[in-house]
Amino acid sequence: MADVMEVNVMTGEETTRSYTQQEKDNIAAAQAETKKNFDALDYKTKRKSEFPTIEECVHAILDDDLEALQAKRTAVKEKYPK
Amino acid sequence: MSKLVVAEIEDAAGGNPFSITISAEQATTSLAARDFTSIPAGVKEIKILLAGVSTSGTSPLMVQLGDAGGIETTGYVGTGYTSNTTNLAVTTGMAVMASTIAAQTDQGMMIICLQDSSNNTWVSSNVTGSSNDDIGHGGSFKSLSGVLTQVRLTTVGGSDTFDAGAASIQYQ
Repeated sequence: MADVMEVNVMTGEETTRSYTQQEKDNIAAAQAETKKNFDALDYKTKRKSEFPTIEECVHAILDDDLEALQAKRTAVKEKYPK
Repeated sequence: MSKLVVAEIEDAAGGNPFSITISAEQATTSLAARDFTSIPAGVKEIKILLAGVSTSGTSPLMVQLGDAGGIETTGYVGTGYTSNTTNLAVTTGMAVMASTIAAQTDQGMMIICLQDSSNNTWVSSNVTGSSNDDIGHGGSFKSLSGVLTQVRLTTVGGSDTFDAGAASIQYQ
């Protein structure tokens, strides 16, 4: 299965190819580093990335849907405990 | 104040240093990466142009630089930021934002400029707007082992696939 489309900017020629093994290894290493960096964040930062947005909070208040909103927040807090 | 009018101006390589070249637009509707190759030597500025680009997952977009030896995947210094969320330091490429979702599209531009030709150091800056009501920012630098010949648009994770939009580059 192809992963990359290469476009020659001089000729416009397009070719597709799969990742090389080196590229696959690089991607695996990058994914491991990304996970490591995320794991190193404090719980507040982790929660912030998944908490409902301010807009969602406003809609929940106006739509009288606070229970569902709190359930979402609780799930995030349990996912990333203090 | 006098004005100089000439018919043609050339740099040492015989090219017009003020000419801007734009690549053909590439649909970003499949696969995990778009490589723009054969960028000529002497280029000092590249713009990555995104129009409604979307991927299948939540891995943020990023740009990687390459030379004759291939795309370089380490040694980047920089951070992407997405408004309302968080920052993401990335060392494997130039992050366009810190987070994304599968349903969003992104539009905007990353400018990558040659900062030091003696060691092929490039710096980037970008602002993009998403369809998900947030903004992506980023700033990075990277020293290549050789003269830049290619750039890659992909995701930090490298495995999410493009599923909407188009991208092109300008260089001069």
